[in-house]
Amino acid sequence: MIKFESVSKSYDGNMVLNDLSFHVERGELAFLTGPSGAGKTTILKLIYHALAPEAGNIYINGQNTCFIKQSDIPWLRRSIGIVFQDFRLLLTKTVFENVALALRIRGLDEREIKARVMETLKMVGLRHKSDNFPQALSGGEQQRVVIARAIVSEPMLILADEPTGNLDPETAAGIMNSFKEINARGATILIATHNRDLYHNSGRKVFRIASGTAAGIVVRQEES
Amino acid sequence: MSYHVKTALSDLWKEKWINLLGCLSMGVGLFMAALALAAVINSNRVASALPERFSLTVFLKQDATPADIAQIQNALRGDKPVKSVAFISSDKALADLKEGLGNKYSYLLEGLDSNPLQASFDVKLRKEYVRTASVKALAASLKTMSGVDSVNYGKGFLDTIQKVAHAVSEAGLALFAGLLAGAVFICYSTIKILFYRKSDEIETLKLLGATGWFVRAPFLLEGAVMGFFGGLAAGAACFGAFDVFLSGVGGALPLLTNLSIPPALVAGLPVAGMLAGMAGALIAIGRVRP
Ligand SMILES: Nc1ncnc2c1ncn2[C@@H]1O[C@H](COP(=O)(O)OP(=O)(O)OP(=O)(O)O)[C@@H](O)[C@H]1O
Ligand SMILES: [Mg+2]
Repeated sequence: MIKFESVSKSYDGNMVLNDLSFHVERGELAFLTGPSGAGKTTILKLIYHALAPEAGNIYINGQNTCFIKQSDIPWLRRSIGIVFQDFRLLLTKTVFENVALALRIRGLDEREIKARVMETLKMVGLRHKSDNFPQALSGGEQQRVVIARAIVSEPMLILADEPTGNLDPETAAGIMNSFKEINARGATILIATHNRDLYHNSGRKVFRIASGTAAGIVVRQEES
Repeated sequence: MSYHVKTALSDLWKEKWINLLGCLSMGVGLFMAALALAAVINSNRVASALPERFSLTVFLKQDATPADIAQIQNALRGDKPVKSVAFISSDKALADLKEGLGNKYSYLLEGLDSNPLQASFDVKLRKEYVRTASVKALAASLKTMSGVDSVNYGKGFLDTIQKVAHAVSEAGLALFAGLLAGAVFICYSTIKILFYRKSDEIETLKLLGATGWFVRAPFLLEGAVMGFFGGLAAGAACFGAFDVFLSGVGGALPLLTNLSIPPALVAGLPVAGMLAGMAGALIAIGRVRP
């Protein structure tokens, strides 16, 4: 589903990813971890093509996105649900509208949008906040709105960047259970996190990005 | 209500002052554009419709035979635009002249042993046929008839009017095009501001997989609404301004009484405004890169 082949990426001449290779199989739930500034968010941006690599190839669902046509980029992104580390909620729209946006962009009709958004909000425990504006929500609530927006369209791939960063352990565990459920229904999920509790003893694949001089080397670990 | 319409309306409301300013500026531009176009239309009308009671004088040659005269008269009577024809013999012309001079100056004419004045036809034209082109054609055809010396219809006057009308037309059309482009530019800059203010939101839409048109649609609608109301305001201003003009200056000059702002032009303003608004918005957003 996701395959990086010798990918390199630098910002203004500062190498962040150097000759990085890894792959996530279809239907997997995998973790991406490493210290702050290691390049986790950068990897996710490369996947949804907000950034392009300087060298190497990236395959998403078998397609090499380094040669993607401009007009195909929206379709690539519609196959992905993204939990942004910086949320990216529209502050002028209600919780309902923020989540509905993912479906409006995909052209669903109003009745189905309403049903699916409410169902998803219930899943993340925010049904009663559907008419609130994001600024009236706590950080953890905002994060759950972002998660709802990422999963509401039932994408085949979900990228979650620090999805439990603002959540207490209990709510975090609840969100993790939702991800596991969605994964069990067939979606591929890649979660970038520092939160060891999420992947420890999970039995899932963990990609660790080493920091400092070894930047770019990925260590594959199996944990049980 | 569709999502894009809702978004456009709420954006219009959120930035109501900028939008109102854009709308009114577009209105001013469209108003002036409409005036320019009205000037073009009216100058053409004035040039084609000659003043009422316009007459034409056909001067006859001294040696015109009675048969020539009869033929000319018949030709004139049979011509549709001609309202009345009066024959003025050279004797009558002299008598008229004498009368015009009065007793005091009649001595001027004494001592003439022959009548130097030409016989003529005084031709009055029907109002509805008094058009520059038809007068010119009539004069040209009369000139070719035997016995006709010359046809006098104020050619210089007509040519001047036509030249003036032509100049007004060209200047007016150029002004119209310029002002319309101005209206497009105003919308362009207003939408550009809105677009920059929302650039963060637009970035999010694109990351969520929105196509260029999904991003553009609300802005196009906003441009259309802004232009439409700008055009409406301009239309109202046109009627108002014209009333003021007619009751003031217009009434004093008889030539101006048949000036008007064509209703079709006023009705077209909101449509023109809408198109100008959408054009401005399109240019402002340009290509939306994913
Ligand atoms: N737009 C940018 N311009 C310049 N440098 C950048 C940019 N984005 C990221 N970087 C740098 O690239 C490196 C990797 O950043 P990235 O956001 O991928 O880290 P991360 O692993 O997601 O960190 P965190 O856990 O704190 O979210 C950092 O050193 C960061 O300073
Ligand atoms: Mg990050």
